[in-house]
Amino acid sequence: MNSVRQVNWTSKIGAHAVLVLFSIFFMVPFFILVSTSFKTQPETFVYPIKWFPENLHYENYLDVFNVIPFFRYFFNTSFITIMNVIGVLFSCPLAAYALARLQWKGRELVFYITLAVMMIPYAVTMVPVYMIFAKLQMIGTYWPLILPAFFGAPFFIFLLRQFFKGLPKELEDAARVDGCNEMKIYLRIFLPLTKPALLTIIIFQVINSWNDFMGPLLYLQESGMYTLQIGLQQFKTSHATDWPALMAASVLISLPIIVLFFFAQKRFMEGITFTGIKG
Amino acid sequence: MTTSKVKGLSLVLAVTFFIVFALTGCGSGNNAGSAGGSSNSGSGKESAAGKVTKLTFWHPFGSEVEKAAMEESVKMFNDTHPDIQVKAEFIGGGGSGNGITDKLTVAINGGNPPDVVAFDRFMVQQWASQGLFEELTANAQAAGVTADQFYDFSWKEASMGDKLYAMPFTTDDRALFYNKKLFREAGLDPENPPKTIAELDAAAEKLTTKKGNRYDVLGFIPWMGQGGVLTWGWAFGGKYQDPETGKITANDPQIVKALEWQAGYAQKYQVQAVNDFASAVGGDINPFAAGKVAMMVGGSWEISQFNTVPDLEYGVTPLPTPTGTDFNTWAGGWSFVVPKGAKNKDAAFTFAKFMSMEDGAKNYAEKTGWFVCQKDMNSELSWVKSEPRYQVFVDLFPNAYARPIITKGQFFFDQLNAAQEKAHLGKGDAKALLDEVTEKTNAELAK
Amino acid sequence: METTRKGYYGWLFAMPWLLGIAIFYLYPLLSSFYYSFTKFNGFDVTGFVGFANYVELVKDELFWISVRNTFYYALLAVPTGLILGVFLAIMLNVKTRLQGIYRVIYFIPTLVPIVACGVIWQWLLNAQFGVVNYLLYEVGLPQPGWFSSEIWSMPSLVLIAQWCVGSGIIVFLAGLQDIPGDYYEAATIDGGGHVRKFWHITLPLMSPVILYHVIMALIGALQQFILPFIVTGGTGSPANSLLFYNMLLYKKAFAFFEMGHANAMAWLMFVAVMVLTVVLNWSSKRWVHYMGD
Repeated sequence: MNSVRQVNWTSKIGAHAVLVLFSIFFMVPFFILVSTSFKTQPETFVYPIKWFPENLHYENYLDVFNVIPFFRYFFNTSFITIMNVIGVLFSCPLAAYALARLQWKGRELVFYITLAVMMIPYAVTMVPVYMIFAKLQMIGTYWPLILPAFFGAPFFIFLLRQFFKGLPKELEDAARVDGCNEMKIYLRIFLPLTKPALLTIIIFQVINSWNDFMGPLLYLQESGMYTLQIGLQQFKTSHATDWPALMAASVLISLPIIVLFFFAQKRFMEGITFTGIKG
Repeated sequence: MTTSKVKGLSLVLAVTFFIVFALTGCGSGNNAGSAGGSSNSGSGKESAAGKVTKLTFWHPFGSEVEKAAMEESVKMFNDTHPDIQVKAEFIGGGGSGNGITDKLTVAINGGNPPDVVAFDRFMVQQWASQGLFEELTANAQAAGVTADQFYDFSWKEASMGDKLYAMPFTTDDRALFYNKKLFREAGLDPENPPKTIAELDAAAEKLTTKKGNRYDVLGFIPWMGQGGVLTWGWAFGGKYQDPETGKITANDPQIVKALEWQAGYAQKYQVQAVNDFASAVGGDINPFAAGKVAMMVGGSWEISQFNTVPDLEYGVTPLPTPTGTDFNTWAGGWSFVVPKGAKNKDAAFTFAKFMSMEDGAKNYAEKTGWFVCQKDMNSELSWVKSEPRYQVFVDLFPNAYARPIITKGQFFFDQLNAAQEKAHLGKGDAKALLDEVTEKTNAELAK
Repeated sequence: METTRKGYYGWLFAMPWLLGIAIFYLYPLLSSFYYSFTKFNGFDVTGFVGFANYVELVKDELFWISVRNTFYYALLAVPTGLILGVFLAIMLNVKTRLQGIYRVIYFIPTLVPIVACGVIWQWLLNAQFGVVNYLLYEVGLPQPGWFSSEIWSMPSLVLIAQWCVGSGIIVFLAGLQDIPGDYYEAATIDGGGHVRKFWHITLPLMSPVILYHVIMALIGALQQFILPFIVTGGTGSPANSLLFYNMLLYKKAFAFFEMGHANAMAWLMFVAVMVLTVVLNWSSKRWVHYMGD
């Protein structure tokens, strides 16, 4: 008993040592991001590097609010993000449930197609998809950024399928005996059980939508509708970039999801399961 | 069982309906959204009804100063032209891809282009040759706009043969920056910078210092910043293009000499060490500003940045040439184009003219520190009058070259850069490399 | 009767996704297939050229350079990411009071906008003025040229990419959580050490996750675009050593107006990834163990 505890203790010390070491690798660039956001432009390029700015130039943060309508962009980005989350929450569990727990002709084929479409380069779909939205007169609106989520995302469907597969069969048998129909079984029994997995795809989707640059760039045409990632471009000119302000904006943009992740991380981990990974 | 079927279906429908409703609710509540969609396509009809032509204008100038200046110029236009109202939209610049070009490609493709676009002049021919821009020759003639009102290079860049496709807007050119303090320390006269290539080489050698086996200061790196074979090929008196046939002549003997000269630097100062200095990408970490490189080829835009660096004492002089005469440079910059399929070409031209030759241009140049292509304006700008180093750049414009004007511009520069890198690494002789560039580019042009 | 009812529900449930496949994947893919046989500048199709685009690609030196670079990257980045990811996930799975904080730290880099991320690493790794070489110089170690050196540029990019392994770690962490604790307890009673436990329990039971990760990482590596694009300003320098497949594809599509070539490239990539995935999946029968089988 004693020795087990001792092994535990030494392994914990070891783990701490390794984790702290790698934390440096992961934190130093982020630290420089934050530190640069408080520097002046000339200070940014001093050699050897200044780890801390001489004075805290918090006015870089004020600059961010002067150069871009931050709250407006924040609201726009949030709107697109929330809509996308709703979209994938609607479409992905449905498809994943069908692929994991329902018997139907073509199921295997659809599963393989789901895997295959993850491999299509974005450059291939970009122009044809744009043409579709142009025909629908949706360029310059949020629709092209939101609608696709309501038709499913292969990565999430795959993830959720693995989760659904891992749930015991007795669950649905019992429900079926009770006379529940498929929709009820799905909504009342299975969907609530996938909460952790849903939380996972929420986080992944939030990150995707929050950091999406190409989509808003292609489809939005009015600066009042822009997102934060496009706003980030406004710190660059043809010949130079206002690095301190760009870093300050980067901090402000990533902060909300860092906070979100901090609170979600524990449940988040439970959400991915692979026990059922099989063709 | 039938009821359960109906129930299931209705549930799916209900959920879908709810979501669609929520979406439409948001969509229609957001007026900016619907307006954005129709402003391009509907502008033609509105002009007929209300007699006010509405134009959509895209530009990639998002920084605080440039954006404000652009908006101010647009407002000046709208105030003086009650029958044309321009709406300026900033389009995200860099990031992944070229931003405005990607977006314009898909917009023209989708039949939904803006009326006017601020476009890199360097790419005008490439796009025009694909039939993507409206020709502006007739408009220019009618408005009395002629070639001699602009710097020669900019007009050439904006046209194909005698057909005009763009109105030249801003411009920039290159000269030699040198660190006066380092000049004094090396025993050189800071008021008498090198004029010939030989003087430049001698100064570079004197200015180079070592700390242990590491270079502390490098005198000069020909390809750092705005340097490179393109810049020096011209300085050496070479020509990149045959004006008659339009063919590329990158193997011009003078350009070969320039590349050999660069390769000499790469060898003498060890290419790796030199590239370590020069690789400060995009001039972000500027070794010249840090006093680590004593001379560099740079653009006028660097002056305002260098002036914020404490203890940096520097001068600007034209790029040295083999003879110490016939100084030249090359220039780039922006222009205004009207994309194919835009609905208000005439109004768009009126706006482009205002922005490139009239108060719109003057205001933008004054506020941002960009030079303009219109000949008489630059010397009158207040910031040029107050900082004599800017005048060096203005004086060079009449002798400036535009980058070779060909339909495969990007291809050519990729090839040229690759040849330069190979020459530096000693992976081939300058003549053979430039022969290959010339041959490949001309083959590509013939396709 | 039962199966028809279920079959009906299967289609119904999958309907949004089936529509999604058709509209957002199948249609673009088919139109891309068509364009790959045409002369197409992105605006007008000016002729049907048969296999000419494919033939020209195979003859194009840059095409092969980009293929070589991309596979070289995948060869370096996928194993590095796998080893680092599994290792760090195991460390992060050790129950300590700071576990939550560590997890956030390791995940933060994936949340930083990529533009800022690329630039910061350029500063850090700048050969002459960067912190890393400054520190190496101080302790008397040789200083590589990083992004200014043809040889070091790819390893440098792999290093940067590792900084964003956060999402990989999450997947492995989740996999570790699936391993029942009693397996380890049994091994402890049998006197197995950490190393033995890793090889005999952790690794076999993690193999499905590893398969999944390798496939995903491979797809990601072969499609790498934004990072080298930002780091090199779209040029792929030095000496084309960072010219990636998708960068060339992008260039052909939007800078050279060779949409026909670009679509041919896209199709070659699609086929290559499909083949690799099938091979991996097939080989996995030998090394992947499923719990409960």
